[in-house]
Amino acid sequence: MKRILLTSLFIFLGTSVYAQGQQSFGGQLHGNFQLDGQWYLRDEGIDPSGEFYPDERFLGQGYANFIYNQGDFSGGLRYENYQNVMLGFPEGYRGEGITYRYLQFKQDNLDITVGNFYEQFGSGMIFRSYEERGLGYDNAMDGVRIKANPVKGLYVKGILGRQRFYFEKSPGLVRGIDAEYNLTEFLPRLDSAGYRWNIGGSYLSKYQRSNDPFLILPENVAAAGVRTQITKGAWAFQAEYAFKANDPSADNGYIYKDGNGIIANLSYSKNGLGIIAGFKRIDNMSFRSDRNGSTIDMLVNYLSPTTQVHTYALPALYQYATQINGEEGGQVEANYKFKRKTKIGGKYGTLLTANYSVAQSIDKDFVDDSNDTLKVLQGYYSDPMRRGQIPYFHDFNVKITKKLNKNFKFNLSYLNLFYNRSVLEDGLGDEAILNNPDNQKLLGADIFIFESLIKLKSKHYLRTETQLLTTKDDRGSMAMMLAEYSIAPHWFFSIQDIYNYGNPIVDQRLHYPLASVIYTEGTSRFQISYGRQQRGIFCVGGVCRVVPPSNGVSFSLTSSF
Amino acid sequence: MKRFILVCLSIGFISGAFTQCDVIDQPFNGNTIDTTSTTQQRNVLIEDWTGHRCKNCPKASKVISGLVDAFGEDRIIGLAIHGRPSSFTGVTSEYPTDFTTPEGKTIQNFFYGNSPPLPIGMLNRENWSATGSGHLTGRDNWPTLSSEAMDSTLRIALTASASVSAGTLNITVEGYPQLSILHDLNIVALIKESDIVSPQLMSDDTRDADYIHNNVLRDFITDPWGEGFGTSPMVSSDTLTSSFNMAWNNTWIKENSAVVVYVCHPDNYRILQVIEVPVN
Repeated sequence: MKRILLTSLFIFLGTSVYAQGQQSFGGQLHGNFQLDGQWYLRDEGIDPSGEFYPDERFLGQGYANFIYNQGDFSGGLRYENYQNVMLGFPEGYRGEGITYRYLQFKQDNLDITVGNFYEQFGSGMIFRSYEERGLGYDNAMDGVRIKANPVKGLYVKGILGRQRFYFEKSPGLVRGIDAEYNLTEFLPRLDSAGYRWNIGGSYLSKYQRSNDPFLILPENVAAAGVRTQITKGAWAFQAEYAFKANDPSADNGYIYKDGNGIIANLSYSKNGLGIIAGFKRIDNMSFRSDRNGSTIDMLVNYLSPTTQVHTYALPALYQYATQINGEEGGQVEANYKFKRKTKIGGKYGTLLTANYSVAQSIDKDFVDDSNDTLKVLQGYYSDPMRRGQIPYFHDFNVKITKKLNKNFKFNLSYLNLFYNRSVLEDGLGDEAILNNPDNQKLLGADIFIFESLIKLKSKHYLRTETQLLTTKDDRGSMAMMLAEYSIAPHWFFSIQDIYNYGNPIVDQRLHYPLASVIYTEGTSRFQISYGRQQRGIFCVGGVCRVVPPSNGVSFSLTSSF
Repeated sequence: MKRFILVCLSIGFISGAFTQCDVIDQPFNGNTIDTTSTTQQRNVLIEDWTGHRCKNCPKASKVISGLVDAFGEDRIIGLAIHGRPSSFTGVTSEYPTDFTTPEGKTIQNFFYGNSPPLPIGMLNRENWSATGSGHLTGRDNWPTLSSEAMDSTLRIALTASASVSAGTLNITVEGYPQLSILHDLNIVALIKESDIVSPQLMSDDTRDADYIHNNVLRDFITDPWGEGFGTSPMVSSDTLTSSFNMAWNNTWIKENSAVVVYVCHPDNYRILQVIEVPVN
């Protein structure tokens, strides 16, 4: 039986290698496929009551994209299946079906798409439709998009449609326009002076019917934004300001206060030195096509994070997620590459990176409960010149990347984290915290990471990670070791263990071992893993989901053609 | 010129968006709701999946009580189902009462799945589909959806009585189709209890030791998926009857208990009518 299974797998992988880009009807068909599954095992150590142990025992999900191009025309579709959705993904994914299909043609500076599409205005502060498959996030539009380039330097987009809500559609309509103008193309003197200067503006309105028996809700809610981007030599500056009209929603507690936000970044890069500084302040900028939506459902906009996203396992347990109701913060990152053949640079150079990011509440002066109308209309007053009182997060980290010789290089990192669990895990609002600040659950941690990559012989590599997280908060301290052995280009073996040695509950001082094997053949990849996964928060781009603990055998197959 | 036309067309296509923004100065509806009608209208069952360690769940309970205040206890019928996950519903020394029932968990598993976020609910089980989640809705949707459900056509009226005699709870139900019904009907009866004082985790992460739990599902009198009540076709002159009984559990306080009876479509589970009667 095992032979049959292995043979079937390799036949599949083998055939897919030779199927890159199919010629069909004069055009080209290409696409990709992914299938994930996990056989869950009952593990009383990580899940004593069995609350996360699924009745199905085995859960699997996947998707396949098919895209056809011919000249100025393209079309495609995506089929998705969830039988049933795997733990940690939104339960709204139930069943199977074609969830994305579109037709598109480009002609005479016009680009027209009907059906589903992803799009973004500026940084996304008032509109971003995108997919993040690892999170189970997909707010694809279904409607019409027109892009035009009517005169040199001017780019205009118009969108009209409804957002995806798992296998259904959002009850709200979304329609908007965005224009961006490249001033450099209009003013040659700017170009000759070395400047690149773009300006842009967006306007978007959503419509959702209201039949609320108690409140008069705005059925049409508009948002607008302006932005600019200037670069000259080593310097670059970009900023965006957005405004949103009254939008009472589940997120903001149905207050009618206007929202606004500003994001600005300044960067410098020259001679091995790079510096980037960013600032963000958002106030009541939650914007969904369903005013009653929650978690990651039907978000119209995207508020980019100003904190660093970590990929190492232990710092990734405490990622920051953008607080859409209001936050302010900033980030400064500097990196410097010490040149080769210097005292610090050594033979191959040394890269030093330091990053500091911080996020906290905005100033909020809440309206007294005794004034019903003002409480609902305004909710709170916020002075942008005053700092908020609740710290949400900070992250200071420094990293050295160095190659010692042609067969060995390493990264050495130190992180200091502060993480407000009441805000970031429990979703406690500012007013509740200000009323009872002693009830906050906070976490402070120091993390040390050493990563090495050793070339053992031609095509044979060993990568190791050693991580140590020390804290007295939450689940306490943890240590992790990982070893990955790869034989390019086909095989990859990995084994890791996280030991939660500092858990304040002695019974929960558990090991979380995980072993994986990956086989790659051309553009196809098969992975099988066995082990424990501890609960955590998985984030991409400031959007997060909770991952429950699990134990079992998981597999993943990806392929493209 | 051609380019100019293209721009005009593009912008004109979505220029409607520019005029679309409603600015509200007075947020309250101010409409008075008529609760004096004696003619039976379509009522709403709000199945509220909840838990005593779910800190946002009291907000959902508050929404139900607000709707009951606004529309009347005959029109809005709340049902608090303590199912899973056990991180929200499990018993600990601080939260010692087990409100869960096997039937509640069964219903929750069927309609939602493995790890539902709480609170969430269903209103008359509208829009159920095997592959969709349109039947699940957050508490903030309940006022609007309740209002819409109550405005919809009543297809069958119900009357019921419940009394305890010699330790047995006896229920009789009569149904009166209001128009032709061309599918079978199932009937479900259950018992719920209110005014139960037991700790609850609150939204500010504090524990309210004297929290009053209302509308708690205690047990099903019929099978949770229902029993046959009417066979297609039915017309408005028909009268449908059923009766049920079960042993009364003396740990339930009779004065705080009520029997909920609803009639539903056996295939799509949509609840056509629901009523609540006291236990005499």
